[in-house]
Amino acid sequence: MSFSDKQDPASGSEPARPALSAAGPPPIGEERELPLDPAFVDAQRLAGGILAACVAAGLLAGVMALVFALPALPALRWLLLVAWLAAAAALGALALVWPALSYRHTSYQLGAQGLRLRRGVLWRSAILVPRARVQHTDVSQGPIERLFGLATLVIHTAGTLHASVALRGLARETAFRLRDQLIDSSEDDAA
Amino acid sequence: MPPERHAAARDLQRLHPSSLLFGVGLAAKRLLLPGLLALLAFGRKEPELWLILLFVPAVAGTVLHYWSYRYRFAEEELIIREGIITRNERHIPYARIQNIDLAQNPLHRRLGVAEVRLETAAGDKPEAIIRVLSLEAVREMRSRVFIGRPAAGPEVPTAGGPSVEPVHPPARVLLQLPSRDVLLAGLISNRGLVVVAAALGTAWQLDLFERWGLLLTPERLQRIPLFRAPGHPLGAAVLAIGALIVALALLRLLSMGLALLKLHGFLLSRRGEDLRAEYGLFTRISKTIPRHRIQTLSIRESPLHRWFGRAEVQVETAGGVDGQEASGADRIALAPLIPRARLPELLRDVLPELELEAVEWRPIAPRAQRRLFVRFLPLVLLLAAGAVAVLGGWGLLAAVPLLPLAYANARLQVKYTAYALTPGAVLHRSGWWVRRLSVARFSKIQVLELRASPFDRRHRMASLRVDTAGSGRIGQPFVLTFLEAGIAAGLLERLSREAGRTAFRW
Repeated sequence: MSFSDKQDPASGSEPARPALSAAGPPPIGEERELPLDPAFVDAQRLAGGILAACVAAGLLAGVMALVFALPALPALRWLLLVAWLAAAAALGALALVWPALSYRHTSYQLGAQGLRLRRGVLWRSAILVPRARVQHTDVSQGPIERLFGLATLVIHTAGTLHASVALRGLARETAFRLRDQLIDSSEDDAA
Repeated sequence: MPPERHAAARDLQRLHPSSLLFGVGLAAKRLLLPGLLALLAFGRKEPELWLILLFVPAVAGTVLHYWSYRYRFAEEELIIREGIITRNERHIPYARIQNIDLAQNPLHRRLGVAEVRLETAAGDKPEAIIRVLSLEAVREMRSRVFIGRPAAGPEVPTAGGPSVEPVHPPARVLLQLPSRDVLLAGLISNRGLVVVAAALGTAWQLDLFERWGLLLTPERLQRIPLFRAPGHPLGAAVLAIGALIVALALLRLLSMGLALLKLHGFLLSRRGEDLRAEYGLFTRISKTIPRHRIQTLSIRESPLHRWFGRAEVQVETAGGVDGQEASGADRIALAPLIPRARLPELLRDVLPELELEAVEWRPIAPRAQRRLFVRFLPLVLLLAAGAVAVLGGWGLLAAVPLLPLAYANARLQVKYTAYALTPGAVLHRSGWWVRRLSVARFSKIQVLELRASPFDRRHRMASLRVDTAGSGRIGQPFVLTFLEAGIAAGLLERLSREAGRTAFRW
């Protein structure tokens, strides 16, 4: 099975969403594109929210400094505060909306050829790591990922730009299963 | 948790306790310079506070790392677990581990431990550095990893018994450059420009220009007959142009001199499966290039190359960290200059599976012409604006011929860009002014990426990137741009099949 035309990154239409499967990645032979774990959206929102809060705080500090440096114009003060509010709202909206959007456009598939990874909202990319080219793998969890029961599968290859291909937003057990299935047949290609 | 995980928990091994010591030492070494700088900048009042601020996190990090580091020997792979904040579990299949190297300083030797580096074919840097394990643990690791195979490098003698002397096949000369060609290579490549630019940059950094400027007062300039300007604008222009020509000529001479230093006596020969390049005037370099380490090959022809009927061939290699061989990833000029007529012969020797004559070139999407033209428009506008600013209304007249030029450029680019598939490799040629041909063998394909920007999607195009080991370091990555979307997807499938069919060997 190849990347079907309606789902290939070059088409402008929305990719058809495969049904969510609670059983994790399919066994080899059943080739279906799978989305990430839905908890990833919340995890991204949390991370994004924290980042947005930090940036907004920094901006606030800057605005405050400006406000105290230019005391003579009350209208200007209000303008600056309003501008900051607008910026903070924009950041918050972005942190809220972007994860869901990027979730819709991310999927993976473990096929006979290898691991296919599709991601990107505006700049769409489809990455394929042939089974035979997997050098070794990492499964890692940051603190936020641990909170949501997620993990990142990092596949190391001998490539340059794609020396490590990271698949974020998998459920922890899914990541391990995927890794096991990937390593299983790639061991035929010993260095 | 699956039952085997319970059993495995008993086999978990930890680092040697002295790792703490070495870890702290390493952190101290890394923080020495930044620490000194920070101390000088900020810490004059309370140096103790700053020292604590700097070193406590590092020491804490080391302790956490030691505490959380576990490894165990599974059936087919080594599993390493580490990290507290970011937990990482790394699986390294035994079959992929090529070398287990040790690094020991006197303190290591005293304590009977060593820093272990696991080299997995990846050439560049070790995939896992374990600081530190006891020698006992290393012995166990070696015995587990290398069950049934010699703990040596990748080359294993095949024919005959274990004491067979490797036969040295006779060397065959593929290319030899006489000094005349070396100088020509220097002339064409114009590497002198880089050196001069670097020199100018350094001079500017050291304020040399200001000092020289002070010396060149108008009175002194007038004494030099050359600078007694006739006062006529045309004369000044001629003088300026003349100076520019002289400067360019000197630059080329410098390039030729540099080429002579670097490439004197260039000799490319083939011994069995390996290529060897020897060159250099004072420092003689001899590089062995095993053919199977060649990841991509590229042929380049600038207009000067074409005028002299020559071309330049470069290869990217990767893999191998032993002494004499091409180490890590490298970009080597296989043939800095070669007559075009001799190219097919050379390619047959270097990549026999390639047959340049029988190649069927396939074009990119014709719509790319419009996109390339549109890409140039901002530049055209900029130049036009500049011309108008300088010459007033006449500037527009000067800018008018820019449009057909941009159109011609776009058309020519599309005409000269193409890709092809041979039985063993994928080829890409591009560029009409500077012509390039790149070859990526199927067996060296690592990861494939299909990419579509919003502009690509609008025009139903996509680009395909073939990632190889050591690619794009200094040279160009292998990317097929402006392909038709459907064709790009099909090509992805085809290349992934070919990559899956061929085993990757370093």
